[in-house]
Amino acid sequence: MAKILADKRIETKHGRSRPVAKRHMPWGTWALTLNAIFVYTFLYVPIIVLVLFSFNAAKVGAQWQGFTLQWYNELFADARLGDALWTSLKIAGLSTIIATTIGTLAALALEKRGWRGRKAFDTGLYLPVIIPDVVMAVSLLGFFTLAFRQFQALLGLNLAMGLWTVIISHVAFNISFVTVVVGTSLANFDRRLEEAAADLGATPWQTFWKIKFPLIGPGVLGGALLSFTLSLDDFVVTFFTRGPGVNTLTTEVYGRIKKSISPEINAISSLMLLGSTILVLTSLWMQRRRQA
Amino acid sequence: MYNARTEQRRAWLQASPALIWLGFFFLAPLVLILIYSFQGRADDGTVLWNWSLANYQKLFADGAFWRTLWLSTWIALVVTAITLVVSYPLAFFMATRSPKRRGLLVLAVMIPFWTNFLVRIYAWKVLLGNNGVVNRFLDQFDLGPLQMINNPSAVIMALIYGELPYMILPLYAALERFDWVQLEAARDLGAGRFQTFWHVLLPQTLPGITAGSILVFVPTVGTFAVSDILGGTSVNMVGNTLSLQFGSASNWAYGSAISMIFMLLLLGAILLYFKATREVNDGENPG
Amino acid sequence: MKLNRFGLLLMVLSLLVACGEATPTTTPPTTPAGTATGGNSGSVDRSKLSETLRIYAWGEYIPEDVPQLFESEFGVKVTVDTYSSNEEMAAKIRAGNSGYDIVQPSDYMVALLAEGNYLAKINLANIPNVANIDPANMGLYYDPNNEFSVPYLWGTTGIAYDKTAVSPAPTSWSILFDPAQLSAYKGRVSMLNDEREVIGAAMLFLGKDRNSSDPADLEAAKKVLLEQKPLLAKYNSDNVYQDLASGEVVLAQSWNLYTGLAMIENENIEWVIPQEGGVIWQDTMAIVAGSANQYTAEVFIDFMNRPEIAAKVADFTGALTPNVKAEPLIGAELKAVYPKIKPSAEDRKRLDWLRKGQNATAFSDVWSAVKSQ
Repeated sequence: MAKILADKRIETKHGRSRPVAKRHMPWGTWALTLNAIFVYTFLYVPIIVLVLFSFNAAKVGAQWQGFTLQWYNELFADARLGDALWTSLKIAGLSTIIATTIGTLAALALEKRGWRGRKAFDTGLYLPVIIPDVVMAVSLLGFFTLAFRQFQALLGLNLAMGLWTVIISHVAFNISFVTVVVGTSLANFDRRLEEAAADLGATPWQTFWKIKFPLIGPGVLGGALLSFTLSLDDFVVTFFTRGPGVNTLTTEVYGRIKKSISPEINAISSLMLLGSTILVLTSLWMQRRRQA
Repeated sequence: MYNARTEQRRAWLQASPALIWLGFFFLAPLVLILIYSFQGRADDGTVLWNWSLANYQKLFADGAFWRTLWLSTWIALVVTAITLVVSYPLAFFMATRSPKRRGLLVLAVMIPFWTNFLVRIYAWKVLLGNNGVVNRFLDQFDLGPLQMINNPSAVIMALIYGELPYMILPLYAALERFDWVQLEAARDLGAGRFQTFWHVLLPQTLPGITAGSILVFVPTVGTFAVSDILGGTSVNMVGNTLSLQFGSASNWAYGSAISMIFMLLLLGAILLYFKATREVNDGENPG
Repeated sequence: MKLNRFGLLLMVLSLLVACGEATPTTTPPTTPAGTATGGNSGSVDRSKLSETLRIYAWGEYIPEDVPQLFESEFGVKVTVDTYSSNEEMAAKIRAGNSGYDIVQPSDYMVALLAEGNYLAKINLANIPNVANIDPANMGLYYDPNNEFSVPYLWGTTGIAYDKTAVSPAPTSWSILFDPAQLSAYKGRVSMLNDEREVIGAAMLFLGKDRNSSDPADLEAAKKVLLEQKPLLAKYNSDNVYQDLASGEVVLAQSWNLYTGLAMIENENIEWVIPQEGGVIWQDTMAIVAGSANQYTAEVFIDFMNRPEIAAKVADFTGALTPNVKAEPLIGAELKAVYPKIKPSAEDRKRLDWLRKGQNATAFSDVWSAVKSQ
């Protein structure tokens, strides 16, 4: 036991616990690997299909009719899709930053026990998770309409829907998701670490950044990724809360889908995939170089 | 320095941005839906201001709604269960890699989801359709065609696909910060693999399981796009009913009543689930 | 900590790179007003034109270069946002302050929106090209004097089928509703995902009025639909054209707008208005009440009614143009199938409108019951 405790102390000094070496893993490594291969294959099969079909000469159907770059040419000539992608990224980026900040703070508040209203807050936070998105969309449309009328009547301010109403709404549905994920990494957090730091004279600010943040970092990142993805994928809420000229990739695709999912849309999806893959590889490469 | 009052004050301070934001942009709009649910439908499809309980009376007698709710719940349960069973070992796998690999693995989960969800659903249709890639392949060997689309299994599979990251991420977050020394300790103390898992790993990753299950179950119950595109005529989910009422039927009042009851039931189920998991957890770690 | 920094870096990088990626595809700066010379834009008072015009249109209804053509001729920046159902559009317009100048409601929605004072009265004097429109498409029930709307595209609802798979050629709705006939195509048939179109077709099959909301008729229609349901592949109103063209379905209740496109891709696709009758519909252009850019909107509607522009719209959508002067200008692809999808004078007698609005709940209740069964 003493050895284990000593180990643990060392771990703590590094600020985080690390998994023990592979050979100690009590679980069938091969089964885990097999499962991982299976899941990643499952995740990427439709993606591969999508990429392949962006090069397919056939306009409709699943038949391969030869290689073409036609859809990419059309895509680059299509300013609407490019603009829509940029708008989507703007909305997703901004709403993720705001929602991650607010959501993480809320998770920290929830972690503190015994304040009045904690339980109601905790339960209430699940409402935005369980609300069907069409209901949220309709309710926000009704709310903004009402609010704008009041602003006009009382203050003479003439407000209208725009990009900002979309971002506000995305933050509203993202906060809870971030809080849930960050809360997960805060659960079972050893409060004594904080107390010890405080006893040793660390300010709450120092305690947070030196002790707590490193531990919840992956949770915050997870929450941010989740919120970015949710925002990028949202159609209904965006549709109802946007103003004229605000056109995201989903609203654009939805408009076009009446007719067909065109190979051009496969092409822009492939480019997005390529973009994100390049980013991942670049940052990994940079990280390796820094370590070398 | 850590007295209760400053702690309370700090908690409120940290909670306030979320409280304010959600109060204005979630709760207030939701109250509007609650109000709509007591109104009626005008002939032109707008909300007719006429307070009554008619929508709720209609809803409780509406067999179609309760059938739909039952099917949605069943599908969501299956999807959540399968997603959990597949994701837990994957999250475990990810969390036990070197930190460098871990980042890559997390991102590899996310990358497919940085495309449009409709595009992803349609990719499944291209794969599994009557004239899809798989059937064309089978055709080469004079097999098939298989009917793989327009049935509940196609919906379940596509939903599992779409919801995987929402299960994997919270599980990974929980496993990532697990203190692996404990496993070694348990083994040193003579616990078997199953015992170690059941008494050490599982209780400590329970918050991740709870969060993941809810993040998967809830959107699944309310989904409409997947069932629309891949479900054929056999799958009508609550989301489809809602989009009918808020869409072409233009009956916002009835749609609002459905939403209120649906959310109430869902919230009740989640609270029960929380209570159950907490009891399991307390049973494991008394005190 | 490594993962954090790495993750943050990634978020920031992804935003930066995305920014760089998108920049080259953004629209070039607008041409200043008056530099381009227009064809028949002489009578337009350019001083009254606004700087921008905001259009809320059906998805895939306005060809991408058309707003640019308008912009280079008149110097007005045109933005087009899209929707995919009348009700989605109406929700935004009724909320007020939508910011849109022009919308494209279908027939019944023109009536509903006009009734609620959500549409502005159009000054047809500013739209001389309205003379190009077939009188048969003007002055219809939903807007008898065309005070609020100008026709944009029109079409019908009938049956599309693949002639290599479905024989003999169907002439009646019974191919879709008589289980004995339909079972031959089990799993390869789709109906529109629209309570009024589907119930309306069942009513026609039963020899009733397509708009009947009589409880006994609705009950009979429900019975027919429940018998039909297990034999269908799906209810689908989106991209029926792709399903038909690729052979995913071989028989479908469809709009001619999809059918024309499917015919272009697949020569085996045929179209019929069943003997019991079919549905006629028309999409329009209307100006939102309170629009600050009414004059510019009228100039735009006039522009859209130029024969060459209207022909472009028909080519792009595969729907029927009400513009008689545009018909000869339609591209070769669509021209080849146009006679097949355009109802003959004889067909036209069997067509009627779906009058939505009243009793809508009765239809949606039947529809919910059928879909959940």
